[in-house]
Amino acid sequence: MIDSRSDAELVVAARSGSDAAFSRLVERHQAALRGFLRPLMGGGWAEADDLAQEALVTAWQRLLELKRAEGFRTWLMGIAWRKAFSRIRSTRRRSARDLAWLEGQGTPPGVQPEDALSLGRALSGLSPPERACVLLCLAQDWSHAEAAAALNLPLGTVKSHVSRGRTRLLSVLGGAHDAG
Amino acid sequence: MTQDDTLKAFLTAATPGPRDYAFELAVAGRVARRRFWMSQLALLPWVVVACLLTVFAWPVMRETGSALTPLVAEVGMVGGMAMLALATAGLLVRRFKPS
Repeated sequence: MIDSRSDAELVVAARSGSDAAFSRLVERHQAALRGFLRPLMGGGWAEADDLAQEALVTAWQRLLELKRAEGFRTWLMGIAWRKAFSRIRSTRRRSARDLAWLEGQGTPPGVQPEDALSLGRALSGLSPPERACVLLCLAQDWSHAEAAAALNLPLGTVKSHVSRGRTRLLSVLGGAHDAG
Repeated sequence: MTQDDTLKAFLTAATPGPRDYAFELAVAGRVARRRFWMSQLALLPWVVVACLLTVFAWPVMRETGSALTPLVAEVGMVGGMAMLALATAGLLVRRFKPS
């Protein structure tokens, strides 16, 4: 059965103790959350998925702190981003992690293997905030404003991160790329 | 396929499917564990209070202990029944609460 309730309604129900409502929120946002964390973390997928679970549990625990119930998605991604950034900064084996991610990535459908390799290396060369902005705005189609709210960055910084990241990623594909 | 399409295909390749029961179950399990530990933590102040009360009441209890002995079984039974009823009611409320 499809639950047609909005995020805000589910948050209100989860706040009053409904595990079923929180499960619906998990179901609704797990794919985007893991799709964001996996390339961002640069390690194996298991580590990113573990972090996604941690972010969801933290969200459950802090539901009462969420001011705007309809902003659950942005708030959740913000929690995940802070956890991921903290973990990325704490590790001293950044290059080793990035290589591990490249090996586990495989070749996505429609992407040439050499392009995937170049893009993987270029992505891992971006700073974590740049990578986060690129993933939210270019992969998940978030607006710059939404990304700025989730990552707690100024709007102008997000725009420049996205623009610079996109340019750097497209440059490794070779040839001219369309602007926009 | 434009370069932007290629880029998007690459960036979204790690996104899992819309349903992942194993992942959702794992989150539910972690939430249950977190709730358990939070409830244990919430009990901590009461344990401290109970310990302090016991320490301060000990001299009185030692003196009146023999007089209270006959009541211990009755008080224990009533208290136990009350605790069991409260725990069961709590579980039933949580289990059948509409979402």
